[in-house]
Amino acid sequence: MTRDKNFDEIDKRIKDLEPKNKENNKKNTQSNFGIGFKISLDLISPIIVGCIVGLGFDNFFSMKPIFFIIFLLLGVIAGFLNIYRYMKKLR
Amino acid sequence: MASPLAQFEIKTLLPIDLFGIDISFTNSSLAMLISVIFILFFLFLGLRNASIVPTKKQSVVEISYEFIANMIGDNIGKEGMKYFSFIFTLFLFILIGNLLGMFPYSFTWTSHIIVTFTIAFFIFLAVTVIAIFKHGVVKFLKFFAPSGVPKPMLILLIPIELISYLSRPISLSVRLFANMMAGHTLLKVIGGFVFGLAASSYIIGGILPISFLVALTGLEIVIAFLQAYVFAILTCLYINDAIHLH
Repeated sequence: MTRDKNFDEIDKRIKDLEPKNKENNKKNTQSNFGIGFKISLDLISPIIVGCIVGLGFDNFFSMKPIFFIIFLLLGVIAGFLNIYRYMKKLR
Repeated sequence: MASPLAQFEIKTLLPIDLFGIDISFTNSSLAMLISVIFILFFLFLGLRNASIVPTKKQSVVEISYEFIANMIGDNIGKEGMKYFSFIFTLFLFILIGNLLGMFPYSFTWTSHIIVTFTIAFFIFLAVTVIAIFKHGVVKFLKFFAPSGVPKPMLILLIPIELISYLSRPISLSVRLFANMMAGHTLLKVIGGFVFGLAASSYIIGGILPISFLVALTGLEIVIAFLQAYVFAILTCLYINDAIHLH
């Protein structure tokens, strides 16, 4: 008899824990650190690419700062666009 | 005491010079070779006496197969199974490379930006070629022009999309490289604390940093798995983008 009681208790406990467990599984697919790292990289890498492309064009056309400035700004916009899209997906 | 960055130093083991290009066999190449040999042994031993009811070794191989197969199924779909061997190789190579770095006195080849960038750049090239072959050049170029946008805005949007596309190999490679390098540097720095504090305070002071070091080693092993997984899953997503251009 005592055994059955124990089993019942365990069953109750499992049932209580199940919704929590499901929530945890959903949340822990990517850690907060991972998300932060991904977002910061998504912000920075287009800026780096923009700088490189801009400097390349500047060297090619020898118009020193113009293309660098244009592509730097485009890179910044692209970085923020990446983050905007990612945040939209998160919600 | 050696600097925390000394572990990333490349040492030439076997100098080879091919037409003026230095292709010496270094400790980085040795680490890659060891990881390839390890993977071959892992797969060979696991599948040597393959049976329907798997042995322990075989079930590890089968779990890793199913893990990647599920990842491809979830992220690309059935037509992605063509690229299974590529992603499986990539995942195992990076995973074993990361884990190999956790052995004392070994070398982490994934902690070098040039290695990870080369891998990421070839993935980027392959994805672009796949997209062009599957859909043709015109449809591929339309990928950069979001639909439903007024035409004057396209002048601004196409370069932005292009830059964001070109930044993929950088974000892919820097993610792996930065995680591995930061983790291993941190381990070395804390390791330096252990000795310094223990020597200056009759061993008692060394207890705190060494317990911290134990926790960090565990975290570093988790990161080794996580980064290999992230690298593989991002490759899946890029291939998915290439196959289903929207």
